[in-house]
Amino acid sequence: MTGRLIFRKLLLAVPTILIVSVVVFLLVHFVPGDPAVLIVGDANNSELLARVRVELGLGRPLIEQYADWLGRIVRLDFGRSLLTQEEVLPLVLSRFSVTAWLVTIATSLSTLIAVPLGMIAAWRHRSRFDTGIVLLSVLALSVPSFWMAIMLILLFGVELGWLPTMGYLPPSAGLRSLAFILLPVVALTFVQAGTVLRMARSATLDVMRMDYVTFARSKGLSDRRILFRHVLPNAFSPVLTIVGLIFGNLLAGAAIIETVFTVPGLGRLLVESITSRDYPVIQGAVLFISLVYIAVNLLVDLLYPVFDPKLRTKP
Amino acid sequence: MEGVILSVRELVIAPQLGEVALVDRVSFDVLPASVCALVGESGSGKTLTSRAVMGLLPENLAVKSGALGFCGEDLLDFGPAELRRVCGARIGMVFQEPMSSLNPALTVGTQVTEALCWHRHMSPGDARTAAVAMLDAFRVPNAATSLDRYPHEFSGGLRQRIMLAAVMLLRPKLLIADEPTTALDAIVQKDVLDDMVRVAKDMNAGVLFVTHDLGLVERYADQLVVLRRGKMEEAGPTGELLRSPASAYTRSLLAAAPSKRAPRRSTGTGQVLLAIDRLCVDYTASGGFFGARAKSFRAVDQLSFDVRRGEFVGLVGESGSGKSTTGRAIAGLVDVAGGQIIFDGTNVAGTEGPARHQARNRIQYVFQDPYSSLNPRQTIGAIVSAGLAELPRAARRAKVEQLLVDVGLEAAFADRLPHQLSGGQRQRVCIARALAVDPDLLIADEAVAALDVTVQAQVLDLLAALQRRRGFACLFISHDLAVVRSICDRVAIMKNGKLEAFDETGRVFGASGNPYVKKLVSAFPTLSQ
Amino acid sequence: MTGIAGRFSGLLAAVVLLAGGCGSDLPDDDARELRVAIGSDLRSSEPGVNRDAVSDEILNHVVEGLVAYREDMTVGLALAERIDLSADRRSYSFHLRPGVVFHNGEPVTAREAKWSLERAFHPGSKFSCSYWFDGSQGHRIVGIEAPDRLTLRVNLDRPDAMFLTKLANHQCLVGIMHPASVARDGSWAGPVGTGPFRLAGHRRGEYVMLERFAAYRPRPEARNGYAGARRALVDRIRWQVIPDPASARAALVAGEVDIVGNVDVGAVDELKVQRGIHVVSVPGYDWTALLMRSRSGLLADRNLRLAIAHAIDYRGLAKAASFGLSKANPSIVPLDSPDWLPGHAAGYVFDPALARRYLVRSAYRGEPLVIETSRAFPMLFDNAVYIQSMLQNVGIDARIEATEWTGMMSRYLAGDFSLMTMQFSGRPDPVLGYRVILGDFDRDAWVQWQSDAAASLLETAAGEQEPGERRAVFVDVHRAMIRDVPILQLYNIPVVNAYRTDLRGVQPWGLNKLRLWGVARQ
Repeated sequence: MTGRLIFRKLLLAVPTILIVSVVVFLLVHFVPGDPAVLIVGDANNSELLARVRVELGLGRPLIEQYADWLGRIVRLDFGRSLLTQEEVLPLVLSRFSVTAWLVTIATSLSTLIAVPLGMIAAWRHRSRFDTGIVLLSVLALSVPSFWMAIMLILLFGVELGWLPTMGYLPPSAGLRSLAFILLPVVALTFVQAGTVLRMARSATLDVMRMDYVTFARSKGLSDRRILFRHVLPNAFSPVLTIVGLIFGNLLAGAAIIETVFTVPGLGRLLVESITSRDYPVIQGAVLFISLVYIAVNLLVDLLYPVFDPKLRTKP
Repeated sequence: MEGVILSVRELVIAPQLGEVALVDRVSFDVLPASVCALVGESGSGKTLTSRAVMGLLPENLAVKSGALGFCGEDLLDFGPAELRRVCGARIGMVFQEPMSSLNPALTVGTQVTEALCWHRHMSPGDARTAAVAMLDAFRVPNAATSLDRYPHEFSGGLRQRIMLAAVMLLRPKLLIADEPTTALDAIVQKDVLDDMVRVAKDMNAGVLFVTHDLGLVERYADQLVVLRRGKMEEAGPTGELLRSPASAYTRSLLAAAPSKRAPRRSTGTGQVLLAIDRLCVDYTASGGFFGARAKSFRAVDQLSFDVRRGEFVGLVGESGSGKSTTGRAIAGLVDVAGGQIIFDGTNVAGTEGPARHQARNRIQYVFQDPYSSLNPRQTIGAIVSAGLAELPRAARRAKVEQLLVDVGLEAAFADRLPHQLSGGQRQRVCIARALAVDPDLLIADEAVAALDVTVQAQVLDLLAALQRRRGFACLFISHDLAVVRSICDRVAIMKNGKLEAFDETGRVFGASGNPYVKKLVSAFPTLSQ
Repeated sequence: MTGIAGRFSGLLAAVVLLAGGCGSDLPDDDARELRVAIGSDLRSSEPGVNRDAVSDEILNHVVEGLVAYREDMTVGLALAERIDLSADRRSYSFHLRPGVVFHNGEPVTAREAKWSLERAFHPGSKFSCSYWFDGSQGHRIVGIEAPDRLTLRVNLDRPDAMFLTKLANHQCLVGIMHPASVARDGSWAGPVGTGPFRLAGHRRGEYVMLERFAAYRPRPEARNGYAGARRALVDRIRWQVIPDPASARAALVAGEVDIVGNVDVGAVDELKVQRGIHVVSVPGYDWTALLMRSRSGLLADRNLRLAIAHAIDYRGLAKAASFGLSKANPSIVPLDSPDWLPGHAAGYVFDPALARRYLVRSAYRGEPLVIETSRAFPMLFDNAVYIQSMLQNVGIDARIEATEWTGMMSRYLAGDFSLMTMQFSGRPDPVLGYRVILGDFDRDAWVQWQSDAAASLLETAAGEQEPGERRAVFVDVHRAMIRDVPILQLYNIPVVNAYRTDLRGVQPWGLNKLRLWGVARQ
């Protein structure tokens, strides 16, 4: 069953990815400006501009350019960056590994912190603790991530001088790499935690209103047992959905956080390639992001049966 | 008082921050091995009263005064911990919705045995053995293997039995059953209640039976308490009270009960308006984009019956019998897999085609749920006049106002929005909307099922009166045999998509040779004459 | 709860302590390493090909040309020890400094110099400024010879005063490199130059690492612009990519980078109050302008252009937009250039009443005029905002449309706008400066100003050798520009460097480029 589900989801992904790539292709080509403009700059040389455009293959009809790109993609050739001549696939993969590392830690942390807090808040509905949690989640949701990031830098990097304000070391560098990702992870966690907190609380509240919880209460069970056996397992699958969604979104690149903290991640690559109209990089990155998104959704789908026996036993 | 299990005295329930009592000085007793019924329409406070016993009132409500005596102690004096020791162990409660009252994430075994393990500190093995015995007592098939399955693998009736088994396993002194079978079909309802009362009486437990159905009360209850808007109307032994009710309200309740209603006088002309001939409808479970073969099953199978002009035909069956699907096929809302729907001499089967288009306005549909079938953003006037686009503005308004008066509302309702109306008023609006285009056939799909019994009676009277005046035919789809019997000239009974019986009402309910029909009729609670 | 909280805070403290250990201990940190914040990555390591400002800045530390600009933008010597000019002024003989070696240890001879020039100038070369040397603008190189081991001779088709100026250019750097810079298949392998630093590492999106070239032999004379002695006083330079300017400043204050070269004028005050930070600024050669599409349409009307010209308070605008660091300059010649004579001060008087009179005389009838601008550079956006309100003040319905940089550049190059706030990188010679705007409307879409008189004046200046005469010509060109009103020059962009106080030798100059030779940590 699982194998077929995966196969079907992947098959479904093909048209999705095709549509996404066409839309992105058209969008980036219809926006004024191309990489040749950046290469020529204010050198004001029309001949050079024309020549660079031809060299970059920009003059050809869009359909031809797209077909060309698609034809190469089928052979897993993502092409090279127009500006730096780097190969796109290794570039995207290396940037993705950075983002994935950051985001996985942040998502795990925010889930581990926000889910229990949200659930406890719901359980103590309308208590002071609950009010505090609601305020916290509103705060986390309304604080813009870049502001949060800059505040963290100013406090821990500049004022206290405990942590580096920028830069990145891969996890292979050992413990020292932790110092570099700590602030970005905190910023990402905080931003995510707002949503997760809210979702965990409202999902738990919803479950607490279910008849089976009232039934469990009528059996005279302890609060603990009701919470852990009856409420939490059922509250977890909507939370899982939202965590999966956030995780997928962030894997596509936490562009702002990556820019402010100078982390060489996928989001920054995408933003930079869009501003420089580096078409092969944009296309490659978007294609990759679509794949990641689909993979994360698939993972979430595969996790549902763990929490919902209905899905477990269906043929 | 010796021998009394539950003694409710002068119970008052009101909002935490308010004074208006939702339950006002209610008093009654529940005795061992007897069933005390708490009867009333929605808003009567019957459910609140039962929840107060368990300390399960909603957060914003509280018991303001009174006493809840249980085996000599007042439950209101108990703290949360003491209450928890009593709840489940000595008082058990079952709820209305079998679909949502069991935790979907836990096995049946866990849920049946958890209270036993908790209160009696029993080992899981012993608890399991006891659970199997109790499930057997409630006639849950394959009790032992059932324990390892999840709630969604069971039907509604079985889930209700499982819930009862879980509660009775602790041999409580008092069982509170809040509309335990309202969501079930008639036959299942009877079986479950029979078992519930049998097991409870075997254990010498008292039952507080919360219901709106006087038929069930007569069949099962020893004592009866009638509540209306939080106040007690009257109380007493069931037989006596139903024979000679003291309160006018109780009398109106009794009169409204479908089984007590005088049958509608037939106005059928004998001319066939609608003939269903070997109708088949398939339901296709969507298999998705690249899904393997889409699975389909036959919801309606070779169904044939007819409706004459001016006639009420009842279409009866349990849930899943295909009765609603048939109605939707006639209205052209679903596609037809085979057979014919001859309407006024023309085959209109299917959702498309010129014949169907012609018939569209002549067949009108009234849905079950008066809450979701009206667009909340449109005024009542706009809703009713939707089919009257060709009329000039003034004439349209006049017609709408006349229709509203005809269905027992006021002309001024035309400017209101649906949420300002009660359920009964909304259903009247639905009827007005259907009648606006002067249809030849009205399909009423469980049109009164969601209404309280007195409101239900009013709407049924209205339908009958309108029919006399306007002469339309009506296909009346319902699971409620008593209602069907009171209003229909002929009845078609369906089971699993097939026709079981089709005959005049009197004959079907009198002496049908069909065993299923017999069982169905006998399962239906009716008030004895 | 408290137990958990206690344990958690313990863990947090451990992480912070651990991190604190590293905070001041950047990877490969060393007192002999300079860390410089750059806003974008090195685009390519091939000088003058697929270049941008950051690439120019880094590669000028790695690769040297024969000649280079001095601080006053006159041409000084780099790899050439001496230049002989033939009597017909068409043949330049560059005598190379003896004993200079490439980063791979090979000696620098005329052979490599010839190879380098030919590679840059051959037809079809990807060198951005090959059009400077192929006759499209002025002279054409007709021959490159190596008569002896240390002499390189370049022959032109006609005398051209601009030849050395172009050859010394820092953007189109004609670097002398060893042929090993190119792989066997003809692709670019990496610069094997002669600079005081060599390219030692590059992590895309993170940093570029330069290492001191131990065998470098500085020129005897003092550092002067890009010319003169280039003494590497540190072992390494790490060019750290920090795309967000606020992050770059935070890193500077936290001591994680030593220099930020291109500081927003708006951030100067904020940095000045920080302890341990020096902020220095000098007038720059880069300049900003308001472009007006005068070739056709509404703005072809000179009266409307004059109305706009007189509506703008240049002094106030320069002061406000540069936070008091710059002055209005109506000329393309930078205020700080020795070529700037008092004649260049002639511009348009700020006179709203006069502007309104021109407006009445013009064909303008209240049509909306859109000022294209970009938020990519705060000054451009600020200019647009100030100009908008000044134009509205005289009754012009000015609107602002902010696009991102690439989009705006493409509209600029296509001439697709009516008004646009623009900035240009500083040109060391007025001839090159005027060529940014002057041209033939029909030939090039980017042209701002078409004037036969100005074009022929510039021709003479290009061929003219005597500085005094050239300067007089530039004043004439300026007058012509003011008369034609094709474009409104606003002010020169100040060069602001901020650095840690333990650095010595940081010195901003007119070109907005860091020079990190001669810079040491105390």
